[in-house]
Amino acid sequence: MSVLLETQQLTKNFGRIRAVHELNLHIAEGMVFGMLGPNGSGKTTTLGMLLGVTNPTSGSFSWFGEKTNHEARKKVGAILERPIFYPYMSARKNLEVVCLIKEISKSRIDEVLKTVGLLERKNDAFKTYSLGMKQRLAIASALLCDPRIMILDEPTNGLDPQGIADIRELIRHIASDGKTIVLASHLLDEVQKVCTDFCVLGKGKLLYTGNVKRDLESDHSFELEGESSDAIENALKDFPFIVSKEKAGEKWVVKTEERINAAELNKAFFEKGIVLSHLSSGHKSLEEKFLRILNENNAQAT
Amino acid sequence: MKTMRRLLSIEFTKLWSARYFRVLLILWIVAFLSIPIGFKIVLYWLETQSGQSLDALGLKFTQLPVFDFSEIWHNLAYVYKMLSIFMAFVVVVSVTNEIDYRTLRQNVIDGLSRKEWLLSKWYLVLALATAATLLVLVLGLVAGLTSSTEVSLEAIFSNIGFLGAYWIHVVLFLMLSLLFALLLRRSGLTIALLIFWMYIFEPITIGILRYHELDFVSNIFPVEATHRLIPWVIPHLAMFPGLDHIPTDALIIAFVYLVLVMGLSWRIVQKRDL
Repeated sequence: MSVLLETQQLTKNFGRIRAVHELNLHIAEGMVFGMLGPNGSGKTTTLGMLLGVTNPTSGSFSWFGEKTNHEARKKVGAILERPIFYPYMSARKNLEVVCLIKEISKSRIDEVLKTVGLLERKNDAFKTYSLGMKQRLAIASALLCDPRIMILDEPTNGLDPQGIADIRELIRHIASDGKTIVLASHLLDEVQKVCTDFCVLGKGKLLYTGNVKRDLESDHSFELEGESSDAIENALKDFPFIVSKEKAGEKWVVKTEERINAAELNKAFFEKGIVLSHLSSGHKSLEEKFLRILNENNAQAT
Repeated sequence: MKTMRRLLSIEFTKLWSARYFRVLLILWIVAFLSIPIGFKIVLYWLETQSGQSLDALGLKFTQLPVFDFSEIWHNLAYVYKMLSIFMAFVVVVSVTNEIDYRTLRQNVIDGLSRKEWLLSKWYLVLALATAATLLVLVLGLVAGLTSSTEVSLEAIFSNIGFLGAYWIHVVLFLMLSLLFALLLRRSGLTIALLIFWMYIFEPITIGILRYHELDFVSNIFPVEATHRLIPWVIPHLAMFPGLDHIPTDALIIAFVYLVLVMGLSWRIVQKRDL
């Protein structure tokens, strides 16, 4: 997988405030990369530097494997903070300006407007749009150049539940087309649902990077239930790979050694003649993980 | 050339849909055309009102050599430089809007370099100045050919250098407005300060300086520098000795200003976080 975006020791100070501190990120083709962090952790500042609107204090970054200038941004679809367009111009005219800037043909305008469901409103002025429509137009604009990589900064900010669901569906749809996406958000649930990889920023520093699946699903804890609770307890005592067990109501919550997955656990019970009526691998939530990372760092800081 | 076409088409796509641009354009054209027409009407009116007394002196208002080649270029350039403020408004609003709407930031995100963005505004300045100069040229030819007592080629083109001075005046004045807009960021504030500077601050300061015979100081004020390219026509018209050419020192000062103003704008756009 080729690296589409890389930062080296990227730093931004606003006066004495360190907004971003020596950040190293690698984003490979095909990733849906979530950037997590509380407000003020440096997500938007980082993306601002990558997109040329904020001048880095030090460090560097490269798009598509080369140190490039604004030409690289023509091949990137990006939304930073809120949707920004000329309010007095129609959606179509606004996208024409984007086409002229990116030096691409205007032929895709109707297509992207259709993708986001704005084709019927294309001749209406941007200022008459609802927030959800504005956000969708921003996504249309980001799709205009058929980019290999998209940057989406808080794309569901300020939207109602329906709007959030629409945008999330749209992101999934785009990701399934094989596009690489960088999604900055403080909505952890959102990142967990659509991202493959993630990082956590806190006070401008990179606290953690990881893979969503590996980090959240390989927790090796299972929840199980069967006809006879006693039979299960006895079986658990016999299994050598059980790390801990705990009874929660009718259910058992067990932790196993790393090599064991749900299928193997089920097989082990079956061989003992026990049929489980319920078996689920306990997915840790990203929220839990995120808060733990932040707390650990706060503890270190103090 | 290709970049220039692309940047101008970006700029004019933004402008054509904007109401302020259409309003200012229409106002400017109306003002542009009404000046020579209105002036002729006033001259006729003065002549019919003055009656016998002035006739006896042999002075006829309609025969004032206002539209005569070759003075016409000087006269038109002098009058039309007062309309530059309309074009300055277009430049100011187009710049402050982009800062206010944050579309400058979005343009950069979409892949325009800061340099290209500023260039697109500079091309707008050049386009406006060139359009205005061409309009003066056409108007001068029409007015001159219909009213001038002398229409030899030599007479027509001998003072046409004032059109060049007019073009430089417009370019410098608009570049100055562009810098004001970049510095102040708000259209209302920029326009108010521009008007204050042009019509109150500079005239008063220059008046004081002149009174103390410090002309060499007053000459280097920026708006004055743009105006001195086209000297006062009234003494000349009234047959008093006045400047009938473009002062060389004014040209030099104008060029120095142009370099300074453009250099400073360039620096601001490069360095600022958007």
